[in-house]
Amino acid sequence: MLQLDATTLSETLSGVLEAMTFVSPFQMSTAEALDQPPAEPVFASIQFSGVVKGRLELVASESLGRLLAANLLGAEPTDEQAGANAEDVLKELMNVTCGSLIRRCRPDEAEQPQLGLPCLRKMPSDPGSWQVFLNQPGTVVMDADGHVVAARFTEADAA
Amino acid sequence: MYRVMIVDDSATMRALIKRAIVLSGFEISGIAEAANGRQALEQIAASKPDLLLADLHMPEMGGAELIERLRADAATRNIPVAIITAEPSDRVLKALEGAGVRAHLSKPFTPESIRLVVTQLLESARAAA
Repeated sequence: MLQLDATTLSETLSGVLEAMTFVSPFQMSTAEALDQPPAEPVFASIQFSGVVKGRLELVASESLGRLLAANLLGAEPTDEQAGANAEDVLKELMNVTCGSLIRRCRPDEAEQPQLGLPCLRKMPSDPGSWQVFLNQPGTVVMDADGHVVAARFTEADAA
Repeated sequence: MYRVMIVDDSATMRALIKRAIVLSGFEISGIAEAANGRQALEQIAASKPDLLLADLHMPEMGGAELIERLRADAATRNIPVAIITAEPSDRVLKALEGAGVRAHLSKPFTPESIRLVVTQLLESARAAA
């Protein structure tokens, strides 16, 4: 078992955002975030399997993807290049965050789970879908330079 | 002058690595890009890279299979390869070293870590020449 708590998820996601995209997020309460659904939300996920199984899920706005891409590429969020790479960067964020979480939870284990490929899809922009995601146990919410982002790490029961 | 190939399914990561290599001041005559191992194999005869940086997890063909194919071909088996990865398993990385991977770049990485890995591969390329 990884036995990952919300604090570890929050710290790891923050660390990856800072190291990879120069964004410094801070944690928000679920109550604060409930009435701030992201505009043009996307749902990203990545699975891991093997000695432990589970998935990391994230909801953010497409505009956060543009900001992260712009920071990575030395561009402006309004640049065409940032828009073209927005979804790609969110997938990469999932990949790196999930790998970092597993390393952090199992630093001394020789056998580690294998990461799958990150997936991304548009999410309904109604407040109800956002609230359902936020209210799931273990969900953390952050403000990343003015963009709200929520993430959750779930582990499947051992076989 | 050296030719480099970057193999990563993320266009953003390819752009980031390419920029870091260009800005590092290496004597680079060309940088080829591929989105997966299959594309890399298709391009490799034409681009003739002196060193190759490949992501481990990619759709269609990942980095491990790409390395296996490169090592099986006399024309490509000596190309120095670095793996780029968020892979958490040291066992996987050790297995890749056993398959001839000269270095690995852990995500998230910095431009400086890219420079260090490329320097390491260039030294390998010089030594092999």
